Amino acid sequence: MAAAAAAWLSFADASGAALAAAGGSAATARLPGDLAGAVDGITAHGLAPLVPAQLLSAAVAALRARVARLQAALGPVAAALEAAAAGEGGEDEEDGEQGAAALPEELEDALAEALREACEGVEAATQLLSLLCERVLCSQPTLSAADRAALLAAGPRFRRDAAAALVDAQPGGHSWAALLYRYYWLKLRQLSEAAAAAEGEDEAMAEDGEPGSSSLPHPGWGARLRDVAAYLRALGLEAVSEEAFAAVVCRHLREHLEERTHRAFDERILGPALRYSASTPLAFLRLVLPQGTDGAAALAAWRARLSYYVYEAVGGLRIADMFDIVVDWPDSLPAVEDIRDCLQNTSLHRRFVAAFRKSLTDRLLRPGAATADIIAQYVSTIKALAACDPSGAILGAVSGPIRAYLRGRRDTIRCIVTSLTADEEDAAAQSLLAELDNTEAAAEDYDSDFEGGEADALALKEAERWEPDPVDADPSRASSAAAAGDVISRLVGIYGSKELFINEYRSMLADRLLSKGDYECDRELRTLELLKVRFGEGNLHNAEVMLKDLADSKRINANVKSVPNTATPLRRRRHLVDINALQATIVSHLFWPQLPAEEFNLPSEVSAMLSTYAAKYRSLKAPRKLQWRPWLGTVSLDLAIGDQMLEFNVSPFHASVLMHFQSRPEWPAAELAERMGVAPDALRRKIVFWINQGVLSESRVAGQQLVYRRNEQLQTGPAVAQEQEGMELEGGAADKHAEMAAYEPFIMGMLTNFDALPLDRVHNMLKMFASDPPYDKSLEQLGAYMGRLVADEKLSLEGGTYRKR
Amino acid sequence: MNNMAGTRPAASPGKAGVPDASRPLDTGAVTKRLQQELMSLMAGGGDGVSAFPAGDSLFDWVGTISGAEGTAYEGCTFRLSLKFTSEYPFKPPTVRFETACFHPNVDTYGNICLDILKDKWSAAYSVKTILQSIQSLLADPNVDSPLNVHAAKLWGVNDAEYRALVQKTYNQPRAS
Repeated sequence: MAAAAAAWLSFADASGAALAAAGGSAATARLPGDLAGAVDGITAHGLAPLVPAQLLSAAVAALRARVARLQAALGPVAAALEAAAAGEGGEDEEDGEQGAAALPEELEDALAEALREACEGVEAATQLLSLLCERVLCSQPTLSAADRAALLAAGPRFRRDAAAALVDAQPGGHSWAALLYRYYWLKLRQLSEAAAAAEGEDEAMAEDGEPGSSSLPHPGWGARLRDVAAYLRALGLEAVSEEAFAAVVCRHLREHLEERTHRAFDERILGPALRYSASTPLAFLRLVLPQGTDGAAALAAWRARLSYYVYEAVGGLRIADMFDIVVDWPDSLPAVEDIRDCLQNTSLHRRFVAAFRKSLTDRLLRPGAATADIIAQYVSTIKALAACDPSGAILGAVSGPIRAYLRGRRDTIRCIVTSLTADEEDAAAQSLLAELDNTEAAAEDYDSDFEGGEADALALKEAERWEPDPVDADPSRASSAAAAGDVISRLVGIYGSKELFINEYRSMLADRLLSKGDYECDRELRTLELLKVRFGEGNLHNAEVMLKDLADSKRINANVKSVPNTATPLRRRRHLVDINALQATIVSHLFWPQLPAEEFNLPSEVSAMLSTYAAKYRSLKAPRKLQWRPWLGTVSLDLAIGDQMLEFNVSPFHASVLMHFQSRPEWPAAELAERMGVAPDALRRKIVFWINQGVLSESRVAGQQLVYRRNEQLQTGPAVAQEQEGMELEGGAADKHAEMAAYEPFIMGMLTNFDALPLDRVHNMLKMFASDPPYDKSLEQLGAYMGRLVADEKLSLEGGTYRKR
Repeated sequence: MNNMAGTRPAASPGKAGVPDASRPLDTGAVTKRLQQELMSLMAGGGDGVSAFPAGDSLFDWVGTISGAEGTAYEGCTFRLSLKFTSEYPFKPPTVRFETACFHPNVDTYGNICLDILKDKWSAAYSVKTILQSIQSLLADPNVDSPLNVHAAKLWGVNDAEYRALVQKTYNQPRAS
């Protein structure tokens, strides 16, 4: 027994010393003689089953000492790296171009050396362990299966324990992750700076995307990095190392991109970014990844990962700027193309939609934004999204809020129509008009009278263009419908029907035509022709008649003026006056929208001209007669005030007011209002124009009434606010009530025959029985109108039911 | 019941529109005609008569007649019901007073004895002419064939009592 104990002790001492010393010298291929003897000694005493535990504990004890040495050796390295990182973090904000704080070469060597030593130590200890166990197995073949397995597993088990111990180690008081992250970061920065410097010298190199060894900072630089990475792998620190360099590479790419983007939308950043990711970061990875076939596979995986990362990062950057990109459209086409490619390669759609919608709601759909601007942005959005997402699914998702918002604005249609019919100087209008010209898509929508074969061919073409919706498209929305529309049909589609649009177009057209001094309407004709292609001829028949009226007016006007006075009925001849200053626009009122009514008395000179004109017209076109609408149209005035000549284009009312001052220098307001046949406050609203122009002045002497006076010299006084806006609103409300007035007999008829009716009953009965004009108003509109009838004391409202008074 | 030439509307039409019995029913045309009558009634305005479809159907109307000035019925507003058939305008509508009316040619149930609603009907008559006829009937009853004998006896004999009974009947709530 004593002999056995002695043999065991000598074995333990010898193996412990050998393990502690392992790695100091070159690893041995065979056991030293004394160790072999000690092994034989214990096996002879049947102590073999105890060997693995003893050996492992001895090896781990030796390892602990080694790790402590490694930690001590890495201390300065970690400190230097930390200092470098801190210095960089502090200075980066101010000066990103400063060279990376260099790691002294001897420290890097120390790092490599310490790692190498640890690596060799572990390697040698493992080998020694395996040899010892082998020897035990050889000398005692009668061991149980479990003991044999334990002996065989001792080597690999030690390797695992060693790796675990190393991972837990805290070199220089820092975790491996931090240390390696800083190390790799430093190395990558050095590499990218060297690459940037080399790129400056040699442009072609960047084109290759494969920087040669010449771009490495200096010879031996790459070798050291490669060694460090290899030792780390050998030490079982591969996971930590990979995590560190992955983080480094991603950060590097991100910073690179952020540095380059700078909100410049007029050039693509995706291509250069992809090229860049394939150059410097990949070169770096080539060094840190293992060589050989494993490395090649890992490198290929990394290449794909990097390009995906670039797609995602570029997409993220562009998406954040999407609103401004749309604002800059079409100059921002490169940025939109970036987004398109990013969306194709990533699944950023949802994020894109959410971000863009949010920026639209935050920045565009606000009460402060002008409707025209919103429409312009919407048009740009449509075009930009058409370029980056041909399926239209994103547009469908994004345009919802804009459309809903525009529907809520009263002047939307007016703005759209204005931009369609506006003057040529307006660039924005030009683009819309150009869209109108682009009738390729439009014809499909509205003129469906294709011959059978043609329709088939068209369907075939359509089918060929089909692409599946992106997976995250809203399935409730038909994508084909979304894709089919072009800009105009989308704008028109805001309201869901083209009728509203056409009606608004008609009233705008009427305004424009009536305010024309000449009869030239080439541009309107052109617009009309384009609209006809889009909406069909029948829908725009009225507008066509209106334009024809203008053309006819031109001709009739010339004819009327050439009618000699003698040709007109005799009894009127003595009233005939010169009508050369008068140009009439003769409208077929059935085809025109309802024209605003605004009664006032024309000065007698003007009414004489009108009646002369009418008489001559009658002699020419009997039995037709003219019914004048003197409040429409414009008057060109040459005004002489003092020694100044002024030219004005004003409404007939304004001109008539001024004419009265030809005969008298001043008018009391009430008297002038009576002469004009309007209310004094209505007169004042209009006369403010002349006061602001300095042509007239108003004065009120205490206790006396308001007097308007002709200025003998042009005066520039404080401007008086013109209540244009209020006037228009009032006019709009009056128009609405005028429309509703068509139903007043029905309402009165109902209430004559039924004592009392609630609002909804009136609404329903109107819907059912009013056919000319068909009742198309909302309950709210009817309620407002009934309220007005109540206010006018035609009806009374008691307990929710209306009665006739 | 009997002829009442005095109550005819001024523009008496010929008999051209008498129905052809074999003519198939066409409610679409009837609806259209009633719709047009409604339109013209609404557009033409009052003259003391008015009518409007009572509810969901165009075949069921409510009419209103105000008593002509200078008659015993002045100040009274009478509500009537007009029921059209799908043979309108070739058959007259059924017209009844819904407001109680003391009148020689109106019975206590509101039935009216008026020739143009019976054998003198013509397709050229309209809701408006019917109501105008009834309005003039109020002012000018036919006492020779009364439905209300009491009224017929008082008419032209005791004006004061006649007026009082008109008002009394007008103001009493309708029994049925």
